[in-house]
This record gives sequence, C-alpha cells and structure tokens, in this order.
Amino acid sequence: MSISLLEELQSGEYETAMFLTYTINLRFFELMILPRLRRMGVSRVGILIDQKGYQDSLADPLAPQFCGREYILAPIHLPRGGIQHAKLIWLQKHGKITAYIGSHNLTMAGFNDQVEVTAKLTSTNPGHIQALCVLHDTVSSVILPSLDYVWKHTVPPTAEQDFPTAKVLSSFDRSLFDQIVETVQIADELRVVTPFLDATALKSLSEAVHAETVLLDLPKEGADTPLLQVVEAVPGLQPRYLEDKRLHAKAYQFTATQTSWLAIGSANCTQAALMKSVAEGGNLEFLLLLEDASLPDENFGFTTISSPGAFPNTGRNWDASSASPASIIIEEAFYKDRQLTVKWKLLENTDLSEITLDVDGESISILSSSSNATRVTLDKAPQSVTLKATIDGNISQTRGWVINYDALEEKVSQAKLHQWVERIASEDPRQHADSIAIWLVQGIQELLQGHHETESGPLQSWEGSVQKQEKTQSKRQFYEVFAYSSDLTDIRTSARTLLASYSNGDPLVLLRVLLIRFAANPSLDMTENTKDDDDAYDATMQHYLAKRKAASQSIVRNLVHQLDRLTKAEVNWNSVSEQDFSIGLRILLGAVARICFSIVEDILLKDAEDLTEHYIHFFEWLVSLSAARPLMQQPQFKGSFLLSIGAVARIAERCKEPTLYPRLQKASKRFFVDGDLRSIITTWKQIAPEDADRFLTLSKQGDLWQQVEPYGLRLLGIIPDYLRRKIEQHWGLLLALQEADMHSNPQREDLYAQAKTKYFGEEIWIRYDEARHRKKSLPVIFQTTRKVCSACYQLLPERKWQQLRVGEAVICDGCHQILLLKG
Amino acid sequence: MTTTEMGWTKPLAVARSYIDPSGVQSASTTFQALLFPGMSTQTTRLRYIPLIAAARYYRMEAGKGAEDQLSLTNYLRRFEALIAVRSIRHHPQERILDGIVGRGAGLSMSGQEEFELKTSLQNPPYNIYRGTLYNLGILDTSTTSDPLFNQAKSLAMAWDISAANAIGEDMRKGILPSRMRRDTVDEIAPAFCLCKIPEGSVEQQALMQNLFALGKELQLPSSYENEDALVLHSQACRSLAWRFLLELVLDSDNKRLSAQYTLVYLLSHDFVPPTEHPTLQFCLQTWRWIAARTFFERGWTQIFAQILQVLRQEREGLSRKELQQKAQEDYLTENQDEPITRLIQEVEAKCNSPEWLLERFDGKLYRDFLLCIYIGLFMAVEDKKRYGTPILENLWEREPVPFSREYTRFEKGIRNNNRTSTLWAEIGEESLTQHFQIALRKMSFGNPDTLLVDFDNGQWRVPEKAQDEYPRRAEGSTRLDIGLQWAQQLGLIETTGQGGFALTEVGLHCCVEWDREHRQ
Repeated sequence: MSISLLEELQSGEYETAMFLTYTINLRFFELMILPRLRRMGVSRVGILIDQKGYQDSLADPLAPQFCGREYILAPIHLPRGGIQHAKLIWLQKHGKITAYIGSHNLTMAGFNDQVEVTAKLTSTNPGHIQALCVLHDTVSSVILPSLDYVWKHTVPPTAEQDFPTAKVLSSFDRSLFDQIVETVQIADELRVVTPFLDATALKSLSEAVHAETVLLDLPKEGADTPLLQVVEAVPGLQPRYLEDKRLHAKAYQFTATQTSWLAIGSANCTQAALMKSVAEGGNLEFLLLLEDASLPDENFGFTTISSPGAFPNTGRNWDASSASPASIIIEEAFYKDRQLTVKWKLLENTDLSEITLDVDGESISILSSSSNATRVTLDKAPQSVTLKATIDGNISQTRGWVINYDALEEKVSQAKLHQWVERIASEDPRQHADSIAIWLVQGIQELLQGHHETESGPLQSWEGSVQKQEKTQSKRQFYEVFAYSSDLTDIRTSARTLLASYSNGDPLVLLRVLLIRFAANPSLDMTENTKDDDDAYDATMQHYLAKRKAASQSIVRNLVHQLDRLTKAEVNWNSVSEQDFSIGLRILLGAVARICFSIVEDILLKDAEDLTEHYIHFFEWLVSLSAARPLMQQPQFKGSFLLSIGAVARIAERCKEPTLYPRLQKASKRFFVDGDLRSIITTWKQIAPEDADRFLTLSKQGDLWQQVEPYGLRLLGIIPDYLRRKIEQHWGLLLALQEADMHSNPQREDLYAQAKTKYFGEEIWIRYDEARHRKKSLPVIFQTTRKVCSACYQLLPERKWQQLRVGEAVICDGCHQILLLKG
Repeated sequence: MTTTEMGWTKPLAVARSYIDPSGVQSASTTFQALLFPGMSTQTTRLRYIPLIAAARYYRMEAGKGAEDQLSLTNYLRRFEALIAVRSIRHHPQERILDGIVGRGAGLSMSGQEEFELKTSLQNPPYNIYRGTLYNLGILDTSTTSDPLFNQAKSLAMAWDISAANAIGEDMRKGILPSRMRRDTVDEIAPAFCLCKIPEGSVEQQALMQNLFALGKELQLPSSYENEDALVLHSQACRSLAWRFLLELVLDSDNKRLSAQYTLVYLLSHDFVPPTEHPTLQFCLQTWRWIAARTFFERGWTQIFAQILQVLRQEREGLSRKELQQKAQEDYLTENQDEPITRLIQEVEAKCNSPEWLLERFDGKLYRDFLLCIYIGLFMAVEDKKRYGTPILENLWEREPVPFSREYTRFEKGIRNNNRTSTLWAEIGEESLTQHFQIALRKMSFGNPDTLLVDFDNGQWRVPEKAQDEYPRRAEGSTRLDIGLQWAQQLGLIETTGQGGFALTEVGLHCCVEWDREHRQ
C-alpha cells in the first residue's frame, strides 16, 4: 500500500491543524498545504518545528507571505540539546481526528519526492484511540504558549477504546529502544530502513532482540558511519541501498516465528533518536508500532551492497551537539491591537549591556536591558523582527517570525468564506465534486430537518433564499470570470464578492459557480511558443480530463445517493412549513437541472441509468406526497420541476435500458397534463422574474431552459418551435393542398401546381398524387405524436420514427399513409 | 494483520511536458490573451473554427436521433479525422501543412483505399480549439456540453455543407460514417481542408465579420487604463488587434515579419501617429511592451536553464552560497567579468539598430542573455517615459517577475559597482525561486508535478525525477505570428518572399471597412 500525502489532504472537513516537523519549506507549505487546509475548512494552523529548521526558514530564499498571519510557526528548544525530529500531521474538528505519523518533514521532498513512510490514525477506528491519546499527551507536554492559540482547540479522542491495534512510542519520557525491546522481545530477523545510522545503535538493537540476520536498507549516498564499521559490529548484516530515489523513510521490522512487528516513524537508527529519551539529551521522536505488520512491497528495488568498504558515508555525527546556540533567543514575538510585543531569553547567565530591535529595517533601542520583553506601537505588523544584543562585549543577533493575532483572528472569523473561496478557486475537478457533495449533503440535511439551527457553510440555509439579495454586480459578470479567467486573484476576488453578495439570498449561486468552475478550461500550459502541435501528447490536459470524468461520476453518484436519502427519510412532511418545504424542494430541483446539464457529456451509461431511475422514483415520491400538492399549483414550483425534468430527459435519452425513458415519460405526462408546457416557464418568468432568473441564468447569455427545452418537450410529446416551423415550411403546402382537395376548395388546382413543382420526384409526393387521383383515399396525410401510426396504430420502425422526429414525412409500412409529426 | 492504513509515500504524477517552467512568460502570454482574445499559440489553423462550428450546429439541429446512432464524442472524433485526412489528400504533391492536429493518423489513412475514421489523439483538435471557440463567441464552454451560441449560427451555416456531398447530408443528420473510401475523400477534400478559407465565400465573409466585428457597434478602448476594460470589451479588443495586424503589414513594406523579426520591427518603428489613429497607437504601445518583454523572457529562460544545469551536476545539492560561487565560475568560463554599467551603456548605444537587436536575440553567450534582459527593461522604461500612458505603468509592475523589480536589481547592481558575474548568479537564483513557486502553484491546482528544483534543508538541488528535464528557452513568436498565419489563411495578406507580407485586396477592403465603421 502507498499513501500520497498531498492527495490525502484533498478531502475531509476539519477546523484545526497542527504539524510537527524538523525542517520546513514555508513556500511549499503556503502553496501546497495551506490552500488544501483552507478548502477543508481549517481555520487554525500551527507548526512546531526544531530551532534549526526555524532559523533556516528565516534565511530561506523562498520567502513566505503568510507566516504569522495565517499560521503560526514556533520553534522548540528541547531541554538537553536534542532536536525536535518527530513528524506529525494532526487534523481535528470537534471529536473527529485524523493523524499521520511518519518520516515526512514539511517540505516538498518530505511530502512528495523522497521515499518516506507514513501511517494514518483516525478517531473513528477504536483501535487507534489509545495511540491518538498518547500523541495528544506528548504534544501537549511540549507545546509552546505561542501555539496554544491553535492547540487548545484540540482535544484527545473521547470515543470508546477498543483493543489497541496501533501503539505510539514517544521518546519524550523513555528511550524508544527500551520501549521497542520491551514489546518485541525477540526476533529472528531484523530489517532496518534508515537514511542515517550509527553502528552502535544498530548493534545494540540487533543484540537486544537476538536477531540472527539483519537486513539494512540505506540511501545510495550512504549513512553517517562508514558501512564497514557497521558490518564489523553487526554479525549477519546484509546491507542494501536504494537506487534512483532518495530514501528518507525510517522503519524497523522484526520477524519472529510466531509474529512480526513493524515500527515506522521519525527515528533514525542513531543514538540520539533511538537510545536516549528527551530528558537524556535525545531527540523528540515518534514511532508507530504495529503487530502482525510488515512493510508493504515497494515498487522500487533495493540493491545488495557487495563491497561495504567502498560504499560512501556522510560522516555526520548525530551525537555531537548541534551548532552552538545563540546566546539570546526570541521566545515570542506577536502583534495584537497595533502593539508589537517581543519576549526574549538569555540562554546563559551573561552580561547584557545593550539591546535593540530591528523592525522592517528600523532599529528601536530598548532602554531597559534588565527586562526580557518590550512592546512598541506599530500601525502595521512586521512579518519578522531581529533582536541585536551586546552580550559580554560581543554582538549577538537572532530573528523570529511575528505572530499577528489580529490577522489570525480575521482568518478564523472568515474561515467558512475562505474555505469556499479556495474551493471555487481550485482547478481540481475532484475538489469541485467534493464541494458539490458538501453542498448537497448540507442542503438535503436542512430539508430533512425542516427549519434547523445547525451551523452551515456559506450556503447559509436553503431557507435563506427568500431574502432579497442586494445586487452589487451582475451575476453574469461573475460567471464570466469563473468560466473564463485564468487569473486566480481575479477568481478569488470575484468568489469573495459573489459569496458575500449573493449566497445568503441564493444558495444556487454557489452550486452554479462550482459547476462553472468544474467545466471551465483549466489554466493549463497551452501558451508556450511551440508550433509543432501535431499529435503532441499533452499529459497535463489528459490528466485533467481523466480527473474531470471521474469527478463527474462522483457528482452523479452523490446526487443519486441524496435523492435516495430524501425519499427514504422518515419525516412528517406535513409538519414542515409550506414555505420551507417549497424552497428546499425547488432548490433541489434546480440543483438536479444544473448538475445534469453540466455533467451530461461525461456521464457513464450506468450512471445515466441510475440517475434516471432514482429521479423517477423521486418524482413519484414527490407527486404522491400530500404536503407537496399545494406547491404543485405554483408556477415557480412547476417551472423548476419542469426544468429538472428537461435536464433529466436529456440524460434519460442516453440510457440503453428500454423501460427507463417511457417510465419517465409516463410519470411526467401524468403530472403535466395541461396543453403547451412552455407557458409554465413563460408565466414563471412573468410573475417572478428574479426568481426565474436565479434558476435559469447561464454565463454569457441564454438561459438553462433554452438548453433543456428540446429534451423536455420531446419527453412530453411537444415538438419544439424550430421543428414546427420546419414542418410548416416544408410540408405546409402539402397539408394545405390536402385540406383544399378534401373540401374541393377552388384554389386546389393552383395549390396542386405549386406542390407538384415543389415536391416533384419525392416519394411522399408520388404517394400523395396517387391517393389524390383515387379521391376517396383522402386524407392520406396523418399527424402523430408517438411512435405509432395514427391511421393504423402500427408501431413504427425506429428509423422512421427518427425521421419523423426531425421533421421529415414518412410512409407507414402497414397502411401506406403519409405521417408527419404533430406540432 | 493490521487494520491501520500505512505504507510508503507515493508522489504525485510527474508531468511529461514542461511548458514555461520558469514561469516568466505568463505575464506576457496572459496579457496577449487580453489583447488578442480567441487565439493561442496552439491554434494555428483558422479553418478549424468554421468547421467545428458547422459540425456542432448540424449536430444540434439533428437532435436526439443522432445521439442514438452516434455519440457526440465519437461524432467529433470522426469529424476531426475527416479534417486530418482531407487536409493531407488535398495537397498530394506539396509539403504537408503544419497545424493539422492528427497529421500522423491523416497520413496513415491517406495511404489506404478504405480506412476507419479515427485519429486516436490524446488531445484532439476540439479540446485545443475549445477555448478559442468560446472566446470568439461560438461555443458556450461554461458547461461541459458546449452548446453553440445563437449568434454563431450564421458562421456555422456559412461553411458550404453542399460541397461536402453525401458527407454533408450525413452531417445534416448529425452523424458520420465510421469508415470511408479514399476516392470519396478526394472528391470533397477542399470543403474540409485546413489550408485556407475559400476566397469570396460566405465563410470568408462570416469569419471577417467575426474577427473584425464588422457591422457591430463597438466600444473601442480609448485608453487601456486597466485590464478589466480589456476583459469587458474583448470583442472590441479582438477587432482592434486585427486592424493593428493589418496596419503592421501595411507599414512593414515587405520587410521580414515573424517571431523575433516582428519584435524587432515593433521596437524599431513607432508607426502609428497618435493624432491619426489614437486607438491603434495604444495598441502599438502594448505590443511594443510585449516585444520588450519577450526579449526579457529570452534572457531569463536561458539563464534559468543554465543555472539548472550547474545545479544538476551537484547531486547532493548546493547551499545558496555555493550556488552563487558555482554560477559565477560558470559565467566566467566563457565570459569576461565587467561592470554592469558596461552592459547598460551598450544597450543604450545600440538598441536602435535592428541588426544588433537580432544578433542579441540569437546570441549564444551568457553575456547576450544578460543583454536581452536589459534590452527588455530599457525599451519598456523608455516607452513608459515617452508615452506616459497608465497601461504602461501597470505593465511595468505586472507579475510574475515584474520589470520594476528587475530594473531595481540593475540599479542596485550599478550602485554597488557589481560585476556581471554577480548579476548572473543573482538572477540565476531568482529564476530558481520563481520556478519553484510557479511549479508549486500549478501543482496546487491539481496539475501534475513539474518541479525541476527543490530547496530543502538549506540546499538547492535537482530532484531525481527532474534529472533529465531540460527547460527550453523562450522563442520570439507571439500571437501576432498566429495572427499573420490566420490572416494568410483568410486571404487578407500574402507573402512577398524574404519573409515579408503585403495586404491583399480583401485585406485592404477590411481596413477600409473597419476604419469606416470603428475609427471614430
């Protein structure tokens, strides 16, 4: 099994995220992780990082834009000089927790490029509860006050524990070595995957578990220790290396006769990681220990090292203390209510004679060097500050990111809006499918609950749609941006404005926008100065189209599921207010129409049939509902109903299952019994133009009804206007002649002459002329709305029926009468 | 067995094509899309537009009966195959046309007496031209079903379906056969061939009306104060761009136009007097910016490719300091170190010489790359001063890699008496930074991985996945080049030898008509 961390972070709903990492690339985090978190609804984000990684981030050429303003990055100093080396992703919303524990730092290499290991723990798995509790306890023990803003919004899982299926080992209190040996006790074979290694650690481990053979997997660049030393220290060692890919995973696999154990996580096979606890000067590390588990087969191969003496090594000494720390560190720097507060700490008992603070290139002298904090009033929050201190006559300098609580608070307060803005801005169709699913689930939930008070997204409640919206800008203009623009800033700005202006009054706006973004051309690389475009394999476009197809299927399946959920719900609909019921149902009908219209080209046959089947079921359920009967008389309701029928009819036309289309037709005709149904839409537009506009507006021009009208009318046996005109233009003369012939009208000879010229040579004319000469054979032209001859009632062959449907005249094989489609 | 989901991590899919990896070209390409909407550098064959419009129109007219017999997707794929094979059969004695999407399949079909209409293209013409069809107001691509706009019916019907004989009849029914004979193809090849729009045809008229917005009231931008105005009046922008293109051909007087020759011509000729034609003058200013920007891109992309090459040689990566040192050493292997001011003086002295500009554009020395960058900056800053129009101020700040920031880099370099090798290394690292951000941004939209470099743990390095990827340098072609091709295919201009062009009578007529309708 393999896990893509970047794919994993594409779905789910959370509010709080905490990361533990040794190193970080902040631009990677901001571009690849932060938008994902926003789309998942995460409003509070914290990162606990080792001091070295923190200082490196301040000198990174890829300068961050949002550090301190959208997330908090805080360094940790472990008491005895160990490093913060644990890697963890913790996502939480109320009691729901998902955590990833592994070897991955918060960098592009760690999340994507290198060979790493990871494991997913969830609070929905009772066997993971204990492991999650241990993780939460450990992080709570080391968390810094500056991260309280985030971490205090997490709680350990409260669900009932089952027998633990995974065990978290933390080096905080005890060495990992002791904990592993205590659990594993004995193993015939030991496999160690580690990019960093010292011989004594491996020797101790293999001896402690009495391993007879030791398989050691290293990166191609070698470990820290010369491999020969390790081979000499560990009898039965079989070293291997990984070609082509960069190995950064850390794993320990113990195989005994009866059982096996696997430990994966952050700990290298070194003294600092494995043999010491934090209190003993070791690193903070996590391992996840699993019984009866082994490393899955990798799709990359390890190569045996035949000459250990010639194998390279890095020479790095993990036990030596890291670079000498600065004499002064910034403990906290934050901005709140236009005040910048900086707190610092001297690491040793030294003589501090002068201290200044650099903010955006301006030095602020701090008068009292005896205090350990300063506060200055600033109109604008700086992103980072530098503290310069003269200590024992030497100048020491340290930097820190500023936590801007004002900006963080604003982000939290607008988390829902940001979530949906980011979801709209996304160019991943799967993300849009996910968003549409959330939209539908929430909407159906609200409909099922009648009027409810639960928290909802920017959809507000569907019931909110009765409010009159304030029009700031034409919706069409926004739709243009979403359909056309490749400028993400523009899309985000438009999304923000549109959601703020319209979503409260019109929940369909959000769905429409998501569907437009779903269908919009992605801003792919089509712009290069290349002329050789022939047969070019455009992997990016193909990748995108494949994803869109899969996403379409997901949208349809979710719609089917939601229709099913609604019809099976045990709800007393008579207790729901008529207004709430009407609004909820109409929005659902509008959603059905929009979704069908948008995904029709990507739909699979099976999904088309499934959707038609469930829609028919929904239709029958709705028509049979006594609470819905009063609604059926309202033009607005009938209009939205008809709209959905037209859109589903288009899908139904694609079904191969022969009974589906007739069933939909039968159901529709039973409900829509009155004359020309186009008048329903016309009436709707006349009496409630704004309401109709909400349901019908498309981007650019035209409306949804125009697009689905032919399918709806065809289903209901009404021919479209253009076809009616076509029949009139082409066959009007012949019909007029028949009328004149039958009534011996004086103009009949003139008409005959005209018709002869017009239709001369056509099979239809020959047949008419023949019947005319017999006189009693008239009328010979009949009109039908069905696949049946209206003269002899014989079923027409498919080909003739299709000819009729495009306005052509045909001759019935049974009675030889001429047939035309009835307008 | 454990129930815990765990395992090795899996990377995202890696892209197989790397387009504008440095990201520097997007500032210009997105702006060109505003100036010349409805065209991309991939859409080189104008006739795809009326052909696809006609195919879509007749298919929609045919209604459901057609869908029962042949799905829309298969119908379009067959139609594209028809275009490919006929475009090849139409020119049996000549060089195969460029821009036929599915040329390989077209050739293969041409070689058989009877063949299946199929190209098996991964990215069919319909996908490539879909954006263009939207921008020209032909297809509504805001939904996946892409219905035809009402206003586009006249263009769709302008294509002479009767010239397609029996295939035309099939198209009226919304269907196409799965197999076809070669002799049938030969009979009707001109109706489908991509080589040109038939002269004097209704199709030609309809296309001219669409592109030049003839017969329509337009609000031409009197000044480009902001880009929103361009987006709002895209039809007017397109109309103006076409008129500008004809003006360029008219003024060029048979001088070579294409790619860098067009750029150099634009930079060396201020050919539209503002008093005579103010809107065209604004148009010229913006195209001059694009020309300057393309010089800049040329230099930037070559430096990026070179710095990546330096980094690729160090498997373990380089710290920032090491990278700077290696880049400088690399520069000095074939180039002399000199003060930055010397580059600047050279540009100022020689930028009026078209020959010198062309030599720099095609230059192979690292020094030429730096000169290209400064040519772009210098030309843009001079125009900004000379014309003083708001749009040039906006373009000066246009992201990514804005001129303003890079100009400041040069100014700072002069103040600090920096030398060219230092500047080279500095721009080199900046190009890596830009690439990293642009690649991640693309990936964050769900695109495959195009990252060629990583910065991790204080080290720049080329990851294993990108060891064999070599980014290409920016070429000199712009949308004006595609415009020149379309104009030829539409019969508005013709070649005069030596790479020059002249207006045809139809082209001249277009100019006159446009001026009569829109000049005021």
